[in-house]
Amino acid sequence: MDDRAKRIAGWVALIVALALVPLTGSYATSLASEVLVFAIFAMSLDLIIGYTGLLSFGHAAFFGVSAYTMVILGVHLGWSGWIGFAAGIAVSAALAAAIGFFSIRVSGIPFLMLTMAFAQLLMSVSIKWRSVTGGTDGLSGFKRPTLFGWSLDDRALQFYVIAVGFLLVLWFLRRLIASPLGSIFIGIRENEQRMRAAGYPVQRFKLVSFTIAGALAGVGGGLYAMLNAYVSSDILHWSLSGDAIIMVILGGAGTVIGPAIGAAMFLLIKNVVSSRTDYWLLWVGVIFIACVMFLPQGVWGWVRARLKARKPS
Amino acid sequence: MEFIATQLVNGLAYGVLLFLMSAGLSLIFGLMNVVNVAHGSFFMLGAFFALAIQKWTGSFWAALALSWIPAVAVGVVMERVFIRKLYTRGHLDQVLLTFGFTFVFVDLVRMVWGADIRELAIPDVLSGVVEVGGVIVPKYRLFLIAFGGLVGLLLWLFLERSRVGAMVRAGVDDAFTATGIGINVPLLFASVFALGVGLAAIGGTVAGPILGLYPGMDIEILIPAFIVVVIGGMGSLRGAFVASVFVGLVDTFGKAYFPDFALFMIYLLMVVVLLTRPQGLFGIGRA
Amino acid sequence: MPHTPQTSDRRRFLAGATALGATSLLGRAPAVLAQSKAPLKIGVLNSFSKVFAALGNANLNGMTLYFEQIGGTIAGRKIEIVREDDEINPQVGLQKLKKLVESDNCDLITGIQASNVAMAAVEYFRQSKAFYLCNGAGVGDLSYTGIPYLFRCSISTQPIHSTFGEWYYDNVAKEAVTTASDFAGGRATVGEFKAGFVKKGGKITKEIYPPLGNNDFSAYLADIRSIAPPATFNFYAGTDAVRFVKQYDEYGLKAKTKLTGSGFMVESDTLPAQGKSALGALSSLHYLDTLDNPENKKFVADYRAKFNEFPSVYSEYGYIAARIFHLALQQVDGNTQDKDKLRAAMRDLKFNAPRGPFRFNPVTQSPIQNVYIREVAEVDGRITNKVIHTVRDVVEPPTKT
Repeated sequence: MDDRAKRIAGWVALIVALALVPLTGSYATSLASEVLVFAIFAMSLDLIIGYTGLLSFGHAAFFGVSAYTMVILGVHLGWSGWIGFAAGIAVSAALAAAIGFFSIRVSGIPFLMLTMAFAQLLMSVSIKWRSVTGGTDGLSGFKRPTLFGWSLDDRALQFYVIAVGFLLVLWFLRRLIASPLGSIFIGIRENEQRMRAAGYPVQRFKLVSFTIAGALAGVGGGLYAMLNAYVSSDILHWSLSGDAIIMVILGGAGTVIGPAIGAAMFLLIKNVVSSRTDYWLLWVGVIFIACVMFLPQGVWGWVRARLKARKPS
Repeated sequence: MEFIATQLVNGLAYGVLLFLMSAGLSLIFGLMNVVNVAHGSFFMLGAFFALAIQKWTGSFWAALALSWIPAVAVGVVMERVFIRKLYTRGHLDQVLLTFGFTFVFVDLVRMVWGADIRELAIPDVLSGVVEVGGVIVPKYRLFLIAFGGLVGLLLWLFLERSRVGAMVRAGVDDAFTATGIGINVPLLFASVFALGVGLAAIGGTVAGPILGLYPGMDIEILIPAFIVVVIGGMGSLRGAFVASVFVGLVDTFGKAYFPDFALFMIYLLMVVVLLTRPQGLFGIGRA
Repeated sequence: MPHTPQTSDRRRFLAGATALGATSLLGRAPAVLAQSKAPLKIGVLNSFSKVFAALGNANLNGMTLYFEQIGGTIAGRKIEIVREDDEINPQVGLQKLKKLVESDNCDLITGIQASNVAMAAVEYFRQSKAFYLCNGAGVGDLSYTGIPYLFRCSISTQPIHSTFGEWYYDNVAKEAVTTASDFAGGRATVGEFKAGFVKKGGKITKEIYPPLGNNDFSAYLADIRSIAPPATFNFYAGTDAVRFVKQYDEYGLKAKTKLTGSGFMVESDTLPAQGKSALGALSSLHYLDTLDNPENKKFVADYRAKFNEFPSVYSEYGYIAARIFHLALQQVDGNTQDKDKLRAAMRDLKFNAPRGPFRFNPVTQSPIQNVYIREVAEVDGRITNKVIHTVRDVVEPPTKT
């Protein structure tokens, strides 16, 4: 009962904190929106990296294709952002299933390269198919949808929609990890051979994990489109996948909320540092190296371990 | 006919360039089971050190002969202080660590040399073109082909025919036993890493005049190098050579005959290879 | 809840109302005077890292040079520059832009070299009504946004390239093979060249588009050689430009097939690395550092004295933007609150810049300026451009073509 009460208290605290954000001002709200969008992206990647144990360098593909779907349908066909949102998630899930189907045939470095190659191929398509995607200059002119008559151009409303998306993804992932399916994913990460020997169709579960992760990234991508009302081929570049990996590792792979914390840390550090020096890449690199060397379980992973250590058994 | 011959030479030259870029990467993986994402950074460092040496001595040859020294020094420090701790921690952590280093190196280069694009001048004896049976080839590309071939040959001799090479291979196969028979495995690994890094630096030096020097050049060759190594098979030097030439030819002919798909070609190639033969053409099947 | 006014708007309104109330109580002159003593905050959003870093820095250098020369104040307001790096990334750029406008409360915004960042920012400028003087991106679309407080003092690429296309037809050849990096800017440039060249009757034999970031152009150069046109028209930026020009020369193409292209392909960020391989290349641009007019001579001398290097076209962008702010704000006594008045003042500007005579096109609020046909040559031991022909006061089309 004690544990459950703690968990509920945690959720309430989080919801209250998020509800209060728009009071901090217009700019801070937009910053918070950005953090939450990337938190979703990072958490979805963690399902593959932290839980199923596969290092993918092409996750931006699913994030990007969802944003593109939403903006393309809105700009070229005039479809409402909500329909575009649903379509975007469906497209990214389908794409994840397709790419995952081929990629999981290999593992390790080949898997890393394959996922990256698929994402780069997608980016090449977006660069070349200028009439539809706007090419490298991107697509602007996207009209944000309305919610019960209120326009999502309003910063605070934008934030609440994104926050709701974030909370839903967070809740979904917690349930997933706690479920039998989640245990299977963890089992695959721990010892794939053993799972296979125990009769589990490991490949099928990897594909399921990959697809779910892709769909969740699609949620992030749709919210990104709502936030910026713009998309360009940069969103498919492997460096965005790299950024997500940094967020996951920084925050804590193998924890549900760790990547969200990693996203917040990464974006805030980058913001603060780049306002002060042009050499912010150096600092990001140093921090990341320190994390890999000394804090491999990530910031949240470390915090959680400390909390557990203090609890009486 | 002449057109095809021209493209053949072009493809070969580009392939050799790719080989010089990827040989070190393949070596380090094959002999040490370590993935060095910062390989491109050493390529870049080699080119910039060469620039500095050329400014100092006025000679391209001096730069070529010496640029690997400071690059290897950096590599040795990196290996001693950081990578050594990760030998047992697996590929994921190595990828992450070396990935972090790419950020650090690129900004360090920018701090020292600035963000402008720089030129590494080639000596007069290598500039200009030669005409071979109607095919125009720049002298520098011929030099590249010859140089790359020589490097490949020397590497092969070293690994297959020398005692040191045998020791390296033993140390990789079974470090425990190797230590038992008196091989200093940590020293061996450090040496192999140094060799791989040195190769990257030399690659950067010879590629510099063609590519132009600037702080982002590490990433631009990293992807092709990884593609080549993955197609050829990680750890196989022969694979790296064959795959380099193969990729060079596919890329060149792709651009000539399917210009709209130039961007896709080498990625598609890698996808096809990985799906049909995941360990690469000559891979040693180590995941 | 209905559309809430931005916090900064509300704050400014309150501040203005209070000032008005206070001064009316004290029976003094309009609140404008009280306002104009506050520092003038100029937000500079540009690329200061990655591949455009040199450009962003040159731009800011030009700007600070000018402001230093006028004593660091305009109409009694001390100039404060707030700079942010957009990392050539639209999402980062948008977020930094919001910071400059809403958190730093900049009075004016300038900068943005990267066209993708500029295009992403258009909607934000439309909605926030921030006052923006673009001094970088040349992308054609920026001329046709219809946003009243959006000005551009750098260039619009259309007139630069279409003018060259016409000149090429008259002076180089009646046919051309074009090559350009396969991205929005590359395709647009070739289209703009064609607008001038084909309209006069020129024939395009082949259009080639190597991928962005291409390492090895040998396949394309062999293709050009086999076609053997009298000349080629090309566009590449940054490192691609360096490689292309060097390899063009490496393969000995220049002798039989003249090298021409967009001015950006052979500019001061690429010429040092291209060296002798660029000699003889023909291009067009609105500026070159060897321009023989008093404004430019002074600019080059001052820039060299302060920064120990020659200015580039990007330095001139920054210099001119600063000048425009200076002249326009002087007209309205430093009042950045009344955007319509400031806009009117800017639209009225006419002056001589290092690049030649400058004024804003009333329809597009982009420049009306000279286009120079240039040739790369060695001048005083330095490889740079020299003018071979001047086309005066070129006006871009009033609507998107």
